[in-house]
Amino acid sequence: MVKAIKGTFIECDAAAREVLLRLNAEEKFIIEDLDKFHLFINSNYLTRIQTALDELMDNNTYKSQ
Amino acid sequence: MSQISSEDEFKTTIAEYLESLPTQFCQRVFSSPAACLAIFRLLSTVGKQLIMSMLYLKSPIRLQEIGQWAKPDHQRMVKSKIHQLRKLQLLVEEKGSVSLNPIFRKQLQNALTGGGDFSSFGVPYTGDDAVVSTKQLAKYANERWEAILHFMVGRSSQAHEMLAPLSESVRSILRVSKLMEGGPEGMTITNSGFQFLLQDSASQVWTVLLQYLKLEEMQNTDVVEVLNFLFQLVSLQLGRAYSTEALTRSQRKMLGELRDFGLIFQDNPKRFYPTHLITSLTSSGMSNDSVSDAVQSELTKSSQHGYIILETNCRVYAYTDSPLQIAILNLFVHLVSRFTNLVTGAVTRDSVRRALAHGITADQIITFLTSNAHPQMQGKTPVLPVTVTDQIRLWEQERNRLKPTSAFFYKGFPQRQNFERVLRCAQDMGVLLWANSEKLQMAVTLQGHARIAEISKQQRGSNAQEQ
Repeated sequence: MVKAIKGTFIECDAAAREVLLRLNAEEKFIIEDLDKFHLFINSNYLTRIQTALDELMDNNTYKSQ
Repeated sequence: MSQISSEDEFKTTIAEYLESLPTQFCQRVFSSPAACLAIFRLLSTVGKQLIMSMLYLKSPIRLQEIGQWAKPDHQRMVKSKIHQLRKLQLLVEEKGSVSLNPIFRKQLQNALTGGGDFSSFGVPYTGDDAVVSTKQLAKYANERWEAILHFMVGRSSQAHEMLAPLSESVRSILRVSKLMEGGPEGMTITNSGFQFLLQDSASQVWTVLLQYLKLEEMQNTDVVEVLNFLFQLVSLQLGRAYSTEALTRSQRKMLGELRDFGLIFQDNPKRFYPTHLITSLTSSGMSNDSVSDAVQSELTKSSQHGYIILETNCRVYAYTDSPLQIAILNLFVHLVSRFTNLVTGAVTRDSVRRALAHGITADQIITFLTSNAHPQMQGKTPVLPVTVTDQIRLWEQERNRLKPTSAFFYKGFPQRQNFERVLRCAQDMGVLLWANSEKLQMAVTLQGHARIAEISKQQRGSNAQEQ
């Protein structure tokens, strides 16, 4: 029987995918890991992971002020 | 480059509006020579060429002959232009030949030769007491327009500027066009409002006029009258007084509302003067009027000349003291110091991210900086340092590292055949996002799912029957 799961299909680069896999270790939101550039996740977690990625980029940027 | 693209955009939006009008409305719009001339000016160069060539032809011309006017590798472009003109109802096609819409043809001929009823071009005022100089007009127009922009940026409580609060009609247009939102207590600017602020003034005026048209349509006034009046206004000459006697009541009402935007100046109920904001709409930047030089020197002070210098280290130096321009710069530049005629700052990651969060795109920031660049910068190619423009685009891309799409994931296909069938089906419909033939899994978009679910059910039904 074919199973149809509703969620969000994500296309990203390899680095972002690794970050998402690490975040997944704490809060499980990945429904299926598709391939090197795509993931299928639970839609409810989308904003949370976007903010997490943003914070990560922020922490790793040099700010001259 | 930026000026041309925003003009094209507005030519297309007004073209879309005209296309959406039903045929009888179009016929009525075409019956005014001023409207025909204004529409003609809004067309692209190829469109204008086509219309001019067919203007004095007595019989329809075959499409193949038109095809011969262009080189072979541009045939498709010519065909698409003809199609566009047909959508605007300027061309009539029958049995493979095209000709100009007869009403449009006659009125355009009238417009060009000065025949027919030219009151649609505006009746000049014949009294002797009309003495408003172009400087006064320019000052008035800039004051009103900047008051509106100030209001949008949220700087309306300037202590030293005693401008009258904005009228209700201006507020309702801002609300309807979704440039601002909110009620009688206070209005806040929206994302599209921010984008509006960064455009050049011609595009801004066009947006306002189109929104005014839509508002009038919603209130069920006669759109054709409004359109005809708009086209008339656009072809008026700067610095001359025009009489209001020939106008209908709704046109006079329109005059009152456009006055609040600084597009018209009216000191006496019998006459009005168009300002440079509205007369420069169809003249694509280059005006041949001798009057324009005087106006240009007035404009230098408040807007259109370049004043921004952008260095390769992202520092910005803006030679301006206008609070409005400083407020607009503040949207995406981190301003550091202010002098009497100069403001300095830098384009930082934080300032650009702030702007991006408000819905402004990197392209808009770059276009704004390019079109307002100091004349010294404009001598170089490219105008802005590549390092800075690339960095702004990279900061925008940083926000879009993930590309999410709402989708459905399919797995657990019993047999390879079913999988292949659904796969082909999804590919034909164009809803397939991802598929893996070894693991027999795939992802399709939300809309595609409903149709595929039906087909899957049918397949299961037929499988059961076979067994």
